Amino acid sequence: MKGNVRKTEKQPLGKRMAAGGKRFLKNVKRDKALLLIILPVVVHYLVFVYYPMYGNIIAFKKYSPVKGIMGSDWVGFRYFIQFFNSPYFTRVLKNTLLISVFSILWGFPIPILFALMTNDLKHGAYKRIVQAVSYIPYFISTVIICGMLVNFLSPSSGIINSVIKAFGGEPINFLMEPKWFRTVFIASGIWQGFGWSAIVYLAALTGVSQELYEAARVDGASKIQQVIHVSIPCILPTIIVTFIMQIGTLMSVGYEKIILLYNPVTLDVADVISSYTYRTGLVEGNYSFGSAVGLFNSAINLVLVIFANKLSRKVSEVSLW
Amino acid sequence: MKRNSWKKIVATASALALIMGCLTGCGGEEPKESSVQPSEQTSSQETSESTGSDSSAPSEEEPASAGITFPLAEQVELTIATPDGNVASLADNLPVWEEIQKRTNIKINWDVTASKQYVDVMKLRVGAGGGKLPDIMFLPNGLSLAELGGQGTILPLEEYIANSENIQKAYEQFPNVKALTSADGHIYSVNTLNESAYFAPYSFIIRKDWLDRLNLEVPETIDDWMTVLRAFRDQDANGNGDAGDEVPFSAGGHAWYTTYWANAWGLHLFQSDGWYPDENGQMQYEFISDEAKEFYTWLNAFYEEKLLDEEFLTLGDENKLYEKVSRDEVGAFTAYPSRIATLEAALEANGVEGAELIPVVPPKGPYAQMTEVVGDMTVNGYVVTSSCEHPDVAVALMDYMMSEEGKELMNFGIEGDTYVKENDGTYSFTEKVTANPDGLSASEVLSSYGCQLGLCYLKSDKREQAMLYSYPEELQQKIIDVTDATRPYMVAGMTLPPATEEESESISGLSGDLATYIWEMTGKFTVGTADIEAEWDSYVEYVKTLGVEKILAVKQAQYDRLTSQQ
Amino acid sequence: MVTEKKKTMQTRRRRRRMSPGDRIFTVCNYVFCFLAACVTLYPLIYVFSMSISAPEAVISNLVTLLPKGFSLKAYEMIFRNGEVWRSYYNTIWYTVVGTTISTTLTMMAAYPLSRRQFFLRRQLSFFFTLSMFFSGTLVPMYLLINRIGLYNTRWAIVLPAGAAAYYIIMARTFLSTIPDSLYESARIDGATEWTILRKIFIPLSMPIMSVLIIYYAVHQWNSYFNAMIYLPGRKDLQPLQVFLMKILINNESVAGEVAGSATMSMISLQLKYVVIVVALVPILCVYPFLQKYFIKGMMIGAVKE
Repeated sequence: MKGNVRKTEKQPLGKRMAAGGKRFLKNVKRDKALLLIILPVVVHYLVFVYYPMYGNIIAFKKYSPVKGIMGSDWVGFRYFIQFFNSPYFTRVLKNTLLISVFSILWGFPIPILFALMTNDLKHGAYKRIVQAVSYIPYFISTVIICGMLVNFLSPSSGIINSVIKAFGGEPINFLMEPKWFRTVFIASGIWQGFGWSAIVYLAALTGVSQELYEAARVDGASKIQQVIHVSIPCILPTIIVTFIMQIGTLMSVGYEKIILLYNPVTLDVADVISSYTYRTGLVEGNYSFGSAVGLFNSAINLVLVIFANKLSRKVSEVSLW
Repeated sequence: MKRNSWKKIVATASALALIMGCLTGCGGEEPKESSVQPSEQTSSQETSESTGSDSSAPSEEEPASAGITFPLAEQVELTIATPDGNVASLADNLPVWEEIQKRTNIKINWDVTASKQYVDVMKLRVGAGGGKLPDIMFLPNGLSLAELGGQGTILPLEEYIANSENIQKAYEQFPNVKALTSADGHIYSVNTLNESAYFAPYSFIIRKDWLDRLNLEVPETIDDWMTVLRAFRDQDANGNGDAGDEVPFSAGGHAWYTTYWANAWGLHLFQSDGWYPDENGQMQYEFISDEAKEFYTWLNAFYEEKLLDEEFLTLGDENKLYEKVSRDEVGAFTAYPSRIATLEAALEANGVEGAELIPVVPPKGPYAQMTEVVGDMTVNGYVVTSSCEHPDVAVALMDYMMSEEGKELMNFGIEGDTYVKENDGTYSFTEKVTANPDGLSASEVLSSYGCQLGLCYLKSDKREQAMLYSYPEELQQKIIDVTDATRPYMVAGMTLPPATEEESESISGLSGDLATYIWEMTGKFTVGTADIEAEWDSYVEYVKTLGVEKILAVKQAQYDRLTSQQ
Repeated sequence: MVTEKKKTMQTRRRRRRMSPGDRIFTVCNYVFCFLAACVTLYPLIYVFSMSISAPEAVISNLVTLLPKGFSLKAYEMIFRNGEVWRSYYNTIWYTVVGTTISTTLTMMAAYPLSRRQFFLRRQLSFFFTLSMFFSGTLVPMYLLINRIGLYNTRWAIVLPAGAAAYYIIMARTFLSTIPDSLYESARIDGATEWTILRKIFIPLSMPIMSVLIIYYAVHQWNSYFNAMIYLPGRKDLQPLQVFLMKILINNESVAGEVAGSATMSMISLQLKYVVIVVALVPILCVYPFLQKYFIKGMMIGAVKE
C-alpha cells in the first residue's frame, strides 16, 4: 500500500487530483448516509470546538484583557522561552512526567483487573452492589478527598498512623515527607477513580459472548485461562484505545489536588507544570504564559499520541484514527 | 486505505475551511471589534482633552458634579457590576439600597455575580470587549488601572472628584488614597476606605485559662512566649490528664502564617511581603536581610522544640486551625480577635468549661515590638466605564456613599430598624440584629439589608465597636484595652500605587518564581530540611538571580510616587 | 478475535465441577471485590455520617464511620430556601436535555467512524481526536455564545457541551466490535442505513450508550462555571451547583469581619458534607437503571448470526 502511495505521487498533479476527485465523489455517493449522519457532529465541532481555538494565539501575544485577543501585541515565542528559562522548568517537567508515568503504571491496569474480577462474580446482586459502590468516590470533590487524606494521614490523630503505632512503628508525617508524596498522590488517585474508569471496560465485557467461555471450558481452560484467552482479547481494543489516550495526558497532571496536598517541604517532588503555571497565573494574572505552557503540553501530548497510535496500528491493528 | 489519505485530508480540510470561512464571515464582528477599540480610544482622548486642562471652556454639559444635588430632578439609571452579597442578593432590592435609590433618585440596575466568581467572569467580559459594559464596575483583580485607562475603557475621574466634597474629605483623612487610586496622573477609581483598620487588628491569641491553670503570666517578650509555650507542651495545660495532646502554637496551613512572628525582628514579611523601605526611603527585600536569617534560625528552633504544630504546613486552611482550637488542643495562634467569641462558643459546645481566649499585645523581640496592620483601603475600587452616559452622576453617587448619610446606611442599615443613634453619637443595633430570630449573626443581618455591599463606602470604626455587643462585658473591655495597648506598636503594611504598564512589563514573570522560592525556603528553613548556616548565602544569591533587583527598582519607583503625592 | 476453531469446537455441555485452582480464584475474587467495595464505600458513609451527626461531633473530629449524635440542622438550612427546588429543576433540565444532545451527537459520530468501509473514517477520527489537545479558550467561546444568541438562554449550557472527543473514540471502539457481517446481511435483506441503525445498531449499543449517559449526565450535573458566565442575568435559570456554591461561600466568614454566629460557624463545616449529599444522591440513583446493561451476556442472542 505504501508503494502505491508513492506511485501515485509521481503522476502529474492535475491528473492525480482529477482521479482523486472522481474517487472522492464516488465515495461520497456510496457513503452518503454515513456522511449525513456525521455531518451535524462535524459542524458542531467546527463551531463550538475548533472555532474558539483561535484564542490560543495569545500564547504568542502579550494578552491584555483590555485589548482583547486580536488587539493584543505579538511577542512571538517570548512566553515559551520564559517557561524554558524558568528556574523551575526542569523540576516541574521531571515531576510531571514521574507522576504521570507512575500513575499510568499503577493506575491503568487496576480498573481493568477490577472490571474482569467483578465480571466474574456469579451472584448478580453482589456484583451489582460491588460495581455500583466502586464508582462513588469519583463524585466526592477533590477538596473533600484531600481533607479526608489530611485527616487520615495526620501524624497525631490519623487512622493510618494509629495503625502504625499499634504495630509498634514510629508515626510517619506522610505529607511532610517528600519521599511519600508520589505514593500518597497516586494511591489516592487510584482509590478515587478505579471504579469509574472500570465502567467502560464493564460495557466492553458485555459484548463478550457466553459461548466463547463455554467453548473455552470445553477445551479445559481454567478460570484464569478463560480470562486471559477470552475476556482480555475481547476487550483488547478498548484497552488499547484507552491506553493511547492515557499516553496523551502524560504532560497534564491537574493542579487542584497537587496544590491541596503539597507544601514547601514537598515542593521538590510535588510541583508540576500545572501547579507552577497556576501559581504564576495567580500572582501575575498572566494568561499568555499559561496559554504558552498549555500549547507546549498539548504539542508534546499530541506527538506522543501520534507515536503511540502508529505503534499500535502496526502491532495490533487497533488505533485512534 | 492509505492510498488516498492525503488527498482526503486535503479534501476534508478544504471543506472544513469553507465552513469555517462561512462561520467567521457570518460572525464577522471580530474585525469590527478591533476597529471599535481605537475609535473608542480616540473619543475618550477627546473627552479627556475637552474635560481636561481647560475647564474654562466647558462643553454644553456641566463638567463636574458640582451642580448635582440629590435627589435628582430627573431620574437617571445606572448599572453597577459588583460581587454579590453572600447572605442576600443585591438583585432582590435590599432595604439599604432601596433607601439610597429613593434619596438620590438614581435607579440602579444590579449586574451581580457571586463573589468567588466575580473576578473570572468580569475579567472575561472586559476582555471579550464587544458588548456594553456596566456604567460602574468593581475593578476585578488582575486588570490594571493604567492599562484600562490608557485604552479608554474606564474614565478619568479627577475632574468630577474635584468638586466632590465627601471624597475630598476622605482624601484628607486617608492621605495615601489619592496616589493609590491613580495611574499616569489620572484618578481612576474610588475605593472603600476603612476607619477601623486599627481597631482590634490581627494578633496573637492565647488560652488565658491554660495560663491560669499553670500559673503563668501573659507573655510580653519572645522569651516569655517560649517559656509559656514550653509549659503548654509539657504540663498538660488543658488538664485532661494527657500531657502529650497539647499543641503549643498552631498556624493555618501556610508558611506565611509563621512570618507573623517576624514582626518582633523588625521585619515586614507578614503584610508587606518583605517589600519595605528602610529609614532612608530605600526599598528593601527583607526576606534576605540579616535579621531574616536570625528570625529563621529562631523559627527553626521553635519548630525543633515542638512548640510549633508539626502539621502547620498541612492543615490546608484557617478553618482547620479553628477546628483544632475548638477541640481544646491549641494553646496559642494568630487570628482577628473578632474570632474569639465564635471559638469560645465552639469550645464550650465541645464540653470545655471556662475556656477563655484573649488577644495579646505584640511581644517584644530582639529588634522590635510591632504588629503590621492591613492598609486602610481596599486594593481594588469602583471605576466608571466608557459606556457610562452620566459619569458625573456616577461620581456623585460615589460621593454620596462617602457622606455621613451614606456612611450610616452602609455601616448600620436603616435607622430605627437595625440601629438607633444614641445621644452621645454612638450607635447601637436593635434586637433584630443582635438577637436575630432566624439565628443570623449581626453581620449577616446587616448584609441581608445591603450594608457594606454594592459600592464603595467608608467603613466606620463606630461599627466595629457597636459589633462588640455580643461579647461579655469583660471581653469587650479586654479587646478595647488590648487594642489601646497595641496601638503604639501598629505599623501600616505597605501598599504601593499601581505599576505602570512599562514597569509591570519589565518584571513580568519574576514575582511568581520569587514567591515560589521564598515560601519553599521558608518552609525548609523552618522544618530544617535546609540548613540555615550552610545555605543562607546561596539562598541570598539565588534570590538575586531570580531578579530581585529589577523588582526592587520598580517598587522603588512606585514608592517614590506614593511619597511624592502625599 | 473469535477463532473459527473455537466456534466449531463449541458443543453444549453442562457446567463441569470447578477445579481447585478455579475455586481459589473465585474465593480470592470475592474477597478482593468485597475489600474494594469497602474501601470505596467508606468515603460515602463518612460523608453521610458527617452530614447528619451533631455539629459538635463534626467539629471535634469524632466521626470516623458512623454518625455521632444526630442533627438535620444543616439540611434544614439548605432546604429552607425556596431557591433550591427551582435550581434542582434547572439542573435536571440541563442534565436530561444536555445528556440527550451529547449522547446523540456522540453516537452519530461514533457510528460512521466504526464502519470499516467509511472512506473518511481515519481523517475524521483524527479531526475529533485533535480537539482533545487544543481546547477552545474562554474569551472566543464567550463571544461566540453572545453572537449566536445563546447568551442568557438555557441553550448556552447544553449546546456547547456537545460530544466529547474522548467519548466519541470510546464509543467508536466499542461499536467496531460489532461484526460487519451483521450489517452486510441486513443490507442484503434490503435494509437501509436508517433501518440498520435503528433495528440492529441501537439495541446492540445499549451498553456503550449507558456509559455515555452516565458520563455526560455526571458532567452536566456537576458543572456550574458555564452557568456563571453565560447566564449572569438569569437567576431563574441557575443550576443546583451554583446555588450550593453560594451556600458554601455564604458560610465562609470574611477575615476581619466579625464572624458569623456560633451556631452558624459550627454548621459551616457540616454544610460542605451536606452539599455533597444533596448533589450526589439523585445522580447515584440513576446508576442502577443503567447498570443492567452491563450485566454480562445480555447481547448473546443478538450477536449470534
